[in-house]
Amino acid sequence: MRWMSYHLVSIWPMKSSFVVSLLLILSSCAVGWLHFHAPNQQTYLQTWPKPIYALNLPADSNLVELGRHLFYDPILSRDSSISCSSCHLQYTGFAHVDHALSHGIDSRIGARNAPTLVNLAWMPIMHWDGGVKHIDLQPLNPITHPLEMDNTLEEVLKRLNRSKKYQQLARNAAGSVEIGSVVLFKSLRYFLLSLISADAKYDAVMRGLHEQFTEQELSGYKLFKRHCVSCHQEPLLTDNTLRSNGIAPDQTNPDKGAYSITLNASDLYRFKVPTLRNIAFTFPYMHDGRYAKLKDVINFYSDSASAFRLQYADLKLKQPFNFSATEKKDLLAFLYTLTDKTFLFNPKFGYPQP
Amino acid sequence: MLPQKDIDVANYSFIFFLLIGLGAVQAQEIHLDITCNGSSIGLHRPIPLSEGGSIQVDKLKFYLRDSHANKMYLVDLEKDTNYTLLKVEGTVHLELGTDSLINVSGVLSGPFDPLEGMYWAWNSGYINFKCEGKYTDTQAVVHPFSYHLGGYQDPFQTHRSLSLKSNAAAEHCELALDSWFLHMFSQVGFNLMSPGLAAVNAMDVLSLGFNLAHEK
Repeated sequence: MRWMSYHLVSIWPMKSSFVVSLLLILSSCAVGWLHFHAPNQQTYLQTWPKPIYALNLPADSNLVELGRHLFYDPILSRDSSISCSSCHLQYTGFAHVDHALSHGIDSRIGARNAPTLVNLAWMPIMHWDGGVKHIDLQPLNPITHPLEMDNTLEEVLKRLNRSKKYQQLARNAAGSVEIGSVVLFKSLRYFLLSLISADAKYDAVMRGLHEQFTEQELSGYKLFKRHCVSCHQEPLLTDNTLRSNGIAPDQTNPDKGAYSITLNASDLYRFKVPTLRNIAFTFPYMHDGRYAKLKDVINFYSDSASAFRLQYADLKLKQPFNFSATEKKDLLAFLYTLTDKTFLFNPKFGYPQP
Repeated sequence: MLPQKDIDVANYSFIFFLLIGLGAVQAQEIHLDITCNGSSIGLHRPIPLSEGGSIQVDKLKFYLRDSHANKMYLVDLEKDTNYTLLKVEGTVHLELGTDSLINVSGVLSGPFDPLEGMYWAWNSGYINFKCEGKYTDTQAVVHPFSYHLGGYQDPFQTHRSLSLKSNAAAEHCELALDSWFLHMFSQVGFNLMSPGLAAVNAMDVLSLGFNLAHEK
């Protein structure tokens, strides 16, 4: 297996092994991920920033398949009632639609809204508070969190290694029937990395294809470029940083955001900037899902002045934008151009065949 | 092909061990002895404290890299009590905990397998030192304690490099936990399971507990 080079069983010589392995990984990452997409989209993706993680398809396609089975299998949760897809539904941009706060087994309510899973190959930090710095071990959070799957890694591996289906999938993916932590997390990683959305109307316009913005969309795009793009940078439509947009903490669910990770006062109420891709489908919005509709979000940025916003919001967000009613509609029209139905309904990302 | 840096490391290591083999470099294997109040710590048994009261350690795991031997240990008293370090020319070089590179390298196996229970999922990174047990105070009140020390990002990084030197013929490397327990009980409380200033200070106190000592 390709990643075997950085298994650290012997740790000899440990640091140099890391350097070599990381170089190998990074170099192998540079081109492989493009193979998953149509030729014209490959060219388009090459204009995007260099991804942090990558796929080496088709070589890794069996890993993607194993990861897809795991993603959709409730076997990961303690009572086998929920899977990753319970909170990350493909048809809603892999977000948790219609739940302000996502819930785990036994209807246990968490503290945040499950974010969309898209274009993770470009994402240096994960979770709303940026606490997770590498995609590999991100799934350990929902698997073990008492308010989510409430399971243990030991139990998950025991179940998978008892399953003939997973033994076969592991043999295909990793050449061994045994599933350990590395196979589990790498396969989930590869499936997650395959979730690339780059085929919205917005992308068609940017690619210079036959599509063009309508007058209203174009007006909205200009507003977006003036007010939103500094955080929601193109083409990912996020800069993947931690920022405060000035939204006050909920009294019943106080959440200090990145501060809880860094303990740095300047990170109070900062959350990771979410991508706007498929934004029309990923409701509700904000880290705590407080806004059910996109127009509520626009109204917040446009009209909501507060002492809290003045104190904590990023410089460009301290004052309301004061959009007119027409401008709000124009911006909304532009945001709808970010819907990528090729992604939302791509069977490669859906429930696997039994 | 290996990058030049790694070829250099491999060559230097080869030369280093060749010199040890030829006797040109004085090298000696010494044992790691984890103690409290002069007694080696064993799991699940009370150890009296000099100030009164006692402690019982039920879990003790930590990452320790022997730089001379170029070897990383996950010291785990549940699995093994016998760890050997290399003393070269009177010096032991150790790294307590994991460096930042390991913490951001994704899923790893061996001592870094998340199955070891030494990985914080919610705040990426390894627990560098884990100690759990019970403290019975002088009033016979029992206080369960859980200390998980970690953090790899400034200003709260808890990876420590230690250089221990002894001109005498030191027989073992001791990690004396007396002062550390005293610090934890009096300054921290009975639970510490997240990165931060308290973990940094606790790691500093812990580092001071390492010394080269003669057998008693």
